[in-house]
Amino acid sequence: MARASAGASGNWRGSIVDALGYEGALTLDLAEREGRVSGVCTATISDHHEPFVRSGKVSGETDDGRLRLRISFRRADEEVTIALDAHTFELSDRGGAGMCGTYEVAARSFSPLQGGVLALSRDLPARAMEAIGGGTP
Amino acid sequence: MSVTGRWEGKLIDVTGIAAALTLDLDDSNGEARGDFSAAFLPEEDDCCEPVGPRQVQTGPVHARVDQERGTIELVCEMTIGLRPVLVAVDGRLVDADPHAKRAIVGCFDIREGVETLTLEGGGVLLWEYARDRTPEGDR
Repeated sequence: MARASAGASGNWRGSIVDALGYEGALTLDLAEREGRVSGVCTATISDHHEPFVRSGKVSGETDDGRLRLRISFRRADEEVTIALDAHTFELSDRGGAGMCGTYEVAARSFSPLQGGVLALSRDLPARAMEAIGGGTP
Repeated sequence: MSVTGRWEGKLIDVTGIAAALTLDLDDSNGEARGDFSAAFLPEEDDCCEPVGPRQVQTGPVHARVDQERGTIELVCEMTIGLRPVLVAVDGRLVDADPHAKRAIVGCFDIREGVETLTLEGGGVLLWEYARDRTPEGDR
């Protein structure tokens, strides 16, 4: 079933899973204007010792719900660039919007990430999350 | 680039729901068939003892592999309350060394039965680990 696409602007929050086995949380605060997207990104990758947290700038394009973003994390000698290909859609009946996609680490110095998937939501009502109740169909 | 074998991983929905996902595929010239099982994972809770994933669904899975592009399309079929549900994954095969031999990374969407399933769509990551798949009785 084709879903209606959603705009890119807003605060997106959710999860990522990397092909190297790492998992974490991802937030994207995006602003869209005439097909151009900019914003900031924060990734928190879980580890046994302490989480790997990085914030960076986001730039890219959007067209009819399709997003192509470039995320740059820079800190001291580190420079990690991630290419993200995602699409946005309206959720079925609970309000809010979803974004899912894949990413690849396009260039890196040090990063626990290689490439993987992400699933984010925007404006998801807390009531809807409670109603989900852990995912029983 | 056969995809025959076991693929184990995770599904993450945009709503925050996560499920452990396992596929057993048998590939024949780019067309693969097999079975899937999905078990929804409990949300992490600091106050309570962790509980294991709940078995939720099993069913047949069909896959089509494009070897030139390195892509794979998976369709998982299930029945919930007598209603058919189709979950499709558009993925690609990537190197996952050193964690695993290979991985399928992609997005899933509900092709049929979205009103039946609490999932909305999201990401799927499945790993193929190095293992000897020879059955015990054949050794």
